[in-house]
Amino acid sequence: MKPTGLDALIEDWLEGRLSEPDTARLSVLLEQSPEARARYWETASIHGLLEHALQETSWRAMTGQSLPVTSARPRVRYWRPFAAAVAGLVMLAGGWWLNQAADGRAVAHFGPLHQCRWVDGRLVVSPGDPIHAGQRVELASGQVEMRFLSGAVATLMGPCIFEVESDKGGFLTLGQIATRADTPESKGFTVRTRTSRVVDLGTEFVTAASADGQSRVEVTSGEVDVHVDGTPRPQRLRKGDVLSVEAGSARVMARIERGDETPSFHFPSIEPPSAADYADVRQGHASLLLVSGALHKAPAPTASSGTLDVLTNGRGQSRRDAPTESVFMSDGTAGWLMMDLGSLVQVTRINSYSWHQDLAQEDNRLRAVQQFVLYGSAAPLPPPMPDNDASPSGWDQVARVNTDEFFQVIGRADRPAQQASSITSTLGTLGRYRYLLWHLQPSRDPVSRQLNNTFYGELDVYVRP
Amino acid sequence: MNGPSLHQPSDPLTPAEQVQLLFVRHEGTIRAFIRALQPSLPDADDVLQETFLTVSRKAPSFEPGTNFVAWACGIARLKVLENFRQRKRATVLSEAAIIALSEVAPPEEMTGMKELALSRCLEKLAPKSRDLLWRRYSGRQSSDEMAGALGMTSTAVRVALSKARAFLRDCVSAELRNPS
Repeated sequence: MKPTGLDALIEDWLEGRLSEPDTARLSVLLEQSPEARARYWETASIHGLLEHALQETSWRAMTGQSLPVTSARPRVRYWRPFAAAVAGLVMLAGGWWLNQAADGRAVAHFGPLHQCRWVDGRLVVSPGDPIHAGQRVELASGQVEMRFLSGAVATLMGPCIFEVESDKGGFLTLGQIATRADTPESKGFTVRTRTSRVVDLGTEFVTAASADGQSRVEVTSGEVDVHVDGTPRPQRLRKGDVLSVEAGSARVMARIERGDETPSFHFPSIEPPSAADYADVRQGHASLLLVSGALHKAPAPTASSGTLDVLTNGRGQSRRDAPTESVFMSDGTAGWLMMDLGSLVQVTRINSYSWHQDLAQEDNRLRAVQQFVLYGSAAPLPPPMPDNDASPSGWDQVARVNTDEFFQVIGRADRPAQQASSITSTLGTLGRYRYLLWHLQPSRDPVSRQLNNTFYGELDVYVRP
Repeated sequence: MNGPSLHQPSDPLTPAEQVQLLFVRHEGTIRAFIRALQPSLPDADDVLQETFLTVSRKAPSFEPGTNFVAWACGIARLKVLENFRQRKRATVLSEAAIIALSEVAPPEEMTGMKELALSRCLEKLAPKSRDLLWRRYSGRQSSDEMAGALGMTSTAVRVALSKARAFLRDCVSAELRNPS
């Protein structure tokens, strides 16, 4: 028999307004009564499924109307099923090419296909085939072009899942899509991801979404506006700009820019290395410690790494190949660099700067790439340090940066010699932290396959007083 | 590796990529499981992401051919408990309750059937109720925000939401018993 008052308890719990005594009461009921547990799932399953059921396309299909305007809350999109290319692992039979078009209109056509392997191996697609609004394209590998009636052309690079919503855009669940929207009709072409909305302003841009929710936008020509969920104003990106947005409630963004390759470290929007930041040595708050790994040491005439204090001295390197003014790990090894901020502070922005270009080889900028994972901790004492490359327990992952991916480095000359990354949050704060921990990772030269470590010149940490 | 997990057509899938693909494929079921245990939508998002990361890390221990959803939901349950402990709130369900609930979670096949039934039941709902549900789940508006936008009191919004969910619960149960 269903316990009295159970429905009200479950309802209030799902709405987040259950009092402490009632929560304890509901817990006891669920622990002791099979009927209570069955009833819980009846109700809670609906709660769990509603977001997907109410997603935008469903709404449009049901009502024939546009979505009501709502507040700018983060809105997480249900990921559509993605078939594994490994059939042995697949447990559910299913339609991979789910073509429940909301209105049946063809809004685009397939263009050239290159070595396409579809998630549904039975699928046959030819250039010129129509694509309808509401149709989802699931590409396991290869490349396919989609030509929209608005004039926009989008190239999907597998693996990729893209749902075409209209002739002016769609939703990218996973993978990478390059878009050219340079006709008057295609202006405003929009690629949505779980964390952001990229609106074309007459341009070419690449949008990527990873399975863990991170999204990235790079502008190759012209301008786009990136609307990050939870922020009132869009970020305007111009040619060469890259922005990545982490999933999760903190809404962390990493902006990557190339510098002017002078000692002034001038970037389009990221400020130069600063002596006014909270971590600067003159401020007397923060200290750096290499908790794992070793700085590069070499006998003369080969130069060794500078000491850690170059990272907080308020300036970057004075020239393009300055080992002793840089901090870099031994070749081929990772390092764990911890900053003690001295007290618990509200961290708002973290910038890192690197510069390297070999004096003899113009295209050798191997040590300019920034590849790290940043963690934070609010504990009074630093949590245990990892003894390998695994994610450290007790630390919050704040952001991931890989500038080679951002700049789509393939050849050595693609890599900017001077780089800055700026990690911020749409909430205005990254969180309250006492310790920051950088997992500095070596990068691999795509040609020589050698592992190298980056010449970091400065780390700046900004806090809210 | 950071950023989008892209691989060339000729590259074999790593164990991590294999489970990531499975995760994306079954993410709806895993998400629904988490949301049922952790009703706070932002917290559920965090738990989902944590689950994804742990599933990726533990990829080598997943045995191909076994029930991926059950394996991933087992990890998700631990992540829900971890999330509750981190929140340090008194208003979270006990560990024993979460464990007991997890043991009788609806099977994956049932989730698919419920989804279908739910979409049919949503069509039967009054447009005003659907609007409220959309604002709550898709727009993530609070009761106060909805009340302001719709000219209702917060209490009226909560009551209406409660009624709409109760209707859907009963409708879905009826649909599952006697599909139309």
